[in-house]
Amino acid sequence: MNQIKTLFIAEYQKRKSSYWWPLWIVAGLTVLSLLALLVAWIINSPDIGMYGSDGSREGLRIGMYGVMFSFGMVFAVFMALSAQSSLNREKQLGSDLFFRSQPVCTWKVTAVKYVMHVFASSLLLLGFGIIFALILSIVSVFFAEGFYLGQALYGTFLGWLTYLKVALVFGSLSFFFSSLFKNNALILGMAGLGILEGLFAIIEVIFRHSINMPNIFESLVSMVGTMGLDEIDDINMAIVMGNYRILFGLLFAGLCYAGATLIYKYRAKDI
Amino acid sequence: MEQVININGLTKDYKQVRALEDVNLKIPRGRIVGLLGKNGAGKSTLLKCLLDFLHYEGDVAFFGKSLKEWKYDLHTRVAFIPDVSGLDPRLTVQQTIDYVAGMNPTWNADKAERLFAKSELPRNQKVKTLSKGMKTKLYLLLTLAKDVDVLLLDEPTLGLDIVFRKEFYDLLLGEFFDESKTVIISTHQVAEVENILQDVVFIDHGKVKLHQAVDILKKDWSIVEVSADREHELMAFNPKATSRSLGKVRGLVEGDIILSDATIAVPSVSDIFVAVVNQ
Repeated sequence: MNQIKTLFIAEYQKRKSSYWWPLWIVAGLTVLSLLALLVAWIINSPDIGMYGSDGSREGLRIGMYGVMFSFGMVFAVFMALSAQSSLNREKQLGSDLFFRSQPVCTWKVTAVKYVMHVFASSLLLLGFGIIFALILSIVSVFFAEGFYLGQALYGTFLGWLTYLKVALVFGSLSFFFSSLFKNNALILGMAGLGILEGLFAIIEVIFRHSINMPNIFESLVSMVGTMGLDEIDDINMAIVMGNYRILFGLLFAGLCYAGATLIYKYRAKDI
Repeated sequence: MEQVININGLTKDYKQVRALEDVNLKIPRGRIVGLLGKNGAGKSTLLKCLLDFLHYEGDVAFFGKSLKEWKYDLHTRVAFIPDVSGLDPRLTVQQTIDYVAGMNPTWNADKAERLFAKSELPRNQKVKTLSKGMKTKLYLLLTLAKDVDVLLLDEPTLGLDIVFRKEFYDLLLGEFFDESKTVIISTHQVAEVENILQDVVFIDHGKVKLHQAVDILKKDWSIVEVSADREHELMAFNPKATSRSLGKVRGLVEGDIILSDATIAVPSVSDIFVAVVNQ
């Protein structure tokens, strides 16, 4: 237990800035938005209004869901960009032998790296979302004539869950890429998938579409789950959690972690 | 004497290049062993193979147990300091200490506190801001506080000034070494370590050229000096190396030698090393 705790702390200390950067960006965007809102309020702009602000509690839930979804995209982009660092940074810095000289199982090390890569930023996103929900609830007292913190938090939570699903599938994939490629892991990994997708398409054409080859990118997105725009008006837990395909997402994440660890273990000796 | 490390038929190839070839060594407990060789001789590769950091052929055993059976728990008994200051530059000194303390069940907190209190290392400073000497010192102190049985040092003082080098070896001998511990020091700076070595392993082009106790080695070899006009007499003993200066000829000779009016001296490990690897 002590080792796990130590690994989590060290992993955070090593990559602190990469976890906090997306937060500073969304915080900056939020401050700018709130300033714009304040100015609009001061000058009594006729355009000021909130989505679903017809006095309904749903407005805040939907609004916060949208906010979390948008912020989540920023976090997801940063997660993908930092994929390179997940399993390669120590070797690039020349400190890999120091870490490999510790009496700890590689699976434990990669598990901590995986969890931190995929989920660490999500805690910051949730924390920020809660603060934002509180601010929006207070603002809504003036614009929507009610203090609907519960609905705002519910929307925050739903948006956060959506982000977690994206992080689970695409974070796991980028983690796997980092085990495969020492440099430019994300670009090379995505290019590899693109080439594979192209090959599948060529095979389908060769066989005159008599066989169905898998569509890789579509399969990845389907594990996250999709929703129609009309569903956002009634956004709730059932819509966010989607169907059984999320189970494939969990399985996919597990495979990515296990595959990455096996490759990492082998490749670590390939100095 | 108990064998701490047993190496059988160790061979390592880097693609087309053979870095180690059929290395066979037995390292006993309680010895300071110098792994001596020129740059690129295969010293670092050998140490990395010993710790299973590289793929290799052959077998390595620590304390009678094969490396394949040890897995990661070997690092509770064997520590390694690499040739570059390989600590993580993103962590502070204190964070690095906390990390090693948290990872190692054999961490001796009292000893660590005593060593670091004396060291004057700036604990809140990031490792990347430390000098090379400070980084090496930090690495050594972390290793000493782990209380391991075997210490593998790969060119540990490379690039350090004489003050840090002396401090390094003083710490090593004062705080780590006793009859129950084993130290292997890999270096090409033979003169620097020869006074503390008990055994030497000469390695060249991936092959072990010689493995011998230093005291026996010095008995087996002699430096013989005669006047230049008697060079032919010296050459009859087939010296491994010769030099000429001020009307004298010096030769490094293996085995007993009887030569009238010759000056016979005990050679340094460096002299023997140069002679052996240049054979």
